[in-house]
Amino acid sequence: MEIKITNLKKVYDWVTVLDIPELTLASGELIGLVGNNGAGKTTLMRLILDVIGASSGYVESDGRRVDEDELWKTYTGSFIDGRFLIDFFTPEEYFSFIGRIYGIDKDTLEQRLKPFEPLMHGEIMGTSKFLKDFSQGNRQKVGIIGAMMIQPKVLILDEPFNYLDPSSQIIVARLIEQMNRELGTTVLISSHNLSFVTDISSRILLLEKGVIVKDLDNREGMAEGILKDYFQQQDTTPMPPPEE
Amino acid sequence: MVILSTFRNFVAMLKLLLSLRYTQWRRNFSWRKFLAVLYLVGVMLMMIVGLLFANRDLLADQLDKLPLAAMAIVLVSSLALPDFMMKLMWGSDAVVMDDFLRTKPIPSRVWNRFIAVLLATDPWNLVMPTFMALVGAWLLPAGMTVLAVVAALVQTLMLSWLVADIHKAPDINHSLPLWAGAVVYYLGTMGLGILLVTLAIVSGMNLVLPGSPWTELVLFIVLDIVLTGVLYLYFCRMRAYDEHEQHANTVRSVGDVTLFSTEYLSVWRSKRFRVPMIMITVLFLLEAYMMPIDDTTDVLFYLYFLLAWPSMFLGQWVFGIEANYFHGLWTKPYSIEHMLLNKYKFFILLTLGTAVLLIPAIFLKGLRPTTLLAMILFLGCGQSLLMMPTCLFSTRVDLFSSAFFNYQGASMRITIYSLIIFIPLAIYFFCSLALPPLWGDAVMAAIGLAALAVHRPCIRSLARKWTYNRYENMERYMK
Repeated sequence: MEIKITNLKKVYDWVTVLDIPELTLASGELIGLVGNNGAGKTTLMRLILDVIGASSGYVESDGRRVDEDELWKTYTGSFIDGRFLIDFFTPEEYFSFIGRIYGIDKDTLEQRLKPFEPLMHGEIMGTSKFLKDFSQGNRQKVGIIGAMMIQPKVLILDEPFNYLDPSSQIIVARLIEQMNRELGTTVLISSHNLSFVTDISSRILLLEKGVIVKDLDNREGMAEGILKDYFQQQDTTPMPPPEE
Repeated sequence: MVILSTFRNFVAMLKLLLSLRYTQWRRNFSWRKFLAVLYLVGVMLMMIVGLLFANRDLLADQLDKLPLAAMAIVLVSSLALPDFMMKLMWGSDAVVMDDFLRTKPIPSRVWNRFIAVLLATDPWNLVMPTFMALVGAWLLPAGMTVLAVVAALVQTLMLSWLVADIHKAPDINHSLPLWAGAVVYYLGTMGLGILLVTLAIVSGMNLVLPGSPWTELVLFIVLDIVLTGVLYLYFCRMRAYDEHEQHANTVRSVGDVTLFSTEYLSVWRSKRFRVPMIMITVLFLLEAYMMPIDDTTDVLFYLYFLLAWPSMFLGQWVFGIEANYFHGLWTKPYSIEHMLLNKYKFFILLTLGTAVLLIPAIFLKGLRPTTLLAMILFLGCGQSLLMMPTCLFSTRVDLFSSAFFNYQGASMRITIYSLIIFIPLAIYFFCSLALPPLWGDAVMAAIGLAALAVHRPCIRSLARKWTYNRYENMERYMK
């Protein structure tokens, strides 16, 4: 499923926070979105998911505008933040609820959740706790699993590695890569973790103040060095001398 | 010099905490919410005064027989239970330092004084004394009224400390003496008051202390002051941590969840909604059963509100619950129309459930079955549909905060729109009082059935309108 962005702009209080004249996320690509804080990564994802309205321009998913046609919801899995979780549900209920919406029967749901057991680490299912009572890391895991278990054709995850311990980060990266390879899912993930993103992504988009400043082909793994150089060049502030 | 410096540091720290609290209050203050609170409190007071005024003849007969001055302690101590329950349900956790402050060099004695200042200056402490002043002005001699107001004020302060201690108590060993003390206090003061009244009726003169009942009331005030001091010292001595795990609930998962079951799970699992739903239903049910079923205004009022309550209460915030996770819902193939239809069906189901509780009244109280059926249709189908448009301007409601006097989620638009409930109320009273019984039932049933017939196109139209303004709506839910 291809995602196409045309003249997309988002303005808040006369400040342009995103300005992308043209961008295509080709079907089956695994795209890493990187940038400093406030670069516009989450805004871009929200626009693609039609959670916020564009000031101008539009986003198309599989040739249909996301703000005019809701068909994209049937094949898109996403997790941005806590507003995607239902705090008064237990994890089992949350997954069951998503299963209901997507027409996944109980047996199929159980099968779909099996690959995520290493990620859950015995801390999520069977705990008899509301989602609101889980740690941030476990909430993050539930959100990611909820997005991926529907086997989407388009997967959008905002900073999925946040709050996760190192082993969970590796598992999440592996699961995303596997989904992209085996199901041909178009994936868009954002992260501050350059090494994970460059390890798994075939393409890297660098956002700076709402503008794509670099669009890097990462099939040969060349992007990490370029990105590190870029970010290091930004750090021009001299360290103050230590206080005596 | 050391003492002065220590005292200066103490005062500086206290000022810092108070200014932090003041900044928090100032930045969270909203004139709209404040006016909404004033409006609702005003309505409640009007309802209570109205009820008393409506029953003044009945009350006057009873009051003529009682020595009013001796009633003062009974009146004051009768406020203790509702006051205590309200304070407890407000669920303030500010009594324990949060992690941010705990890791800073703020001595606990400064914190304790800070809590003392907050409790002493809490404007809600004026509610019970105000109520006492209104009742006292009507029932008691002037001087006794003033003393009773002072007693109510001291009692409410004491209860604030009791609740603060209960919230701070880290385990049952610390909270059990407080609960036991609360029971002894309530029974003791009520018992003393009733004894005084009984003695005054029976003997017509003081058999307890000289200057009764003034003396007893002064002693009551002194007792509350002493108890306040004891509770304050208890508070200072307790060590507690703000452990989040203590608040984690262990729940029994229902396992398989349908799209419809989200409706009742969200209400049942949220104290914010569950407590008022159950409490008000039980209160109105008791009133409805205690009164004889005839066509007096009071009975009609209770019957109406009992069945209207579910849609009236939850209908103020259609999508207020979902607003907490709307971004997740919006990105899934679950249409707005489907959500609204589920909500409508849920309101009907709630009205039906409440009506089932009234079935015994058909046999015990002579409630007409046709009336009950007509009200189910009228209120379940009709009023529920009338409340659905609040989805267009409802705000996010925090599910896990306390319900009482919590107007988070309130807005002027909701408040104004809520006045629409007077339309079905007026129709109901017209049908009940102005029309012959079966005609009235038929009219209400017809309106309900008409609402049921048109609910789909109405909801479809609402869903379209919501979707047209979805960005503005979802932006509002983020606040």
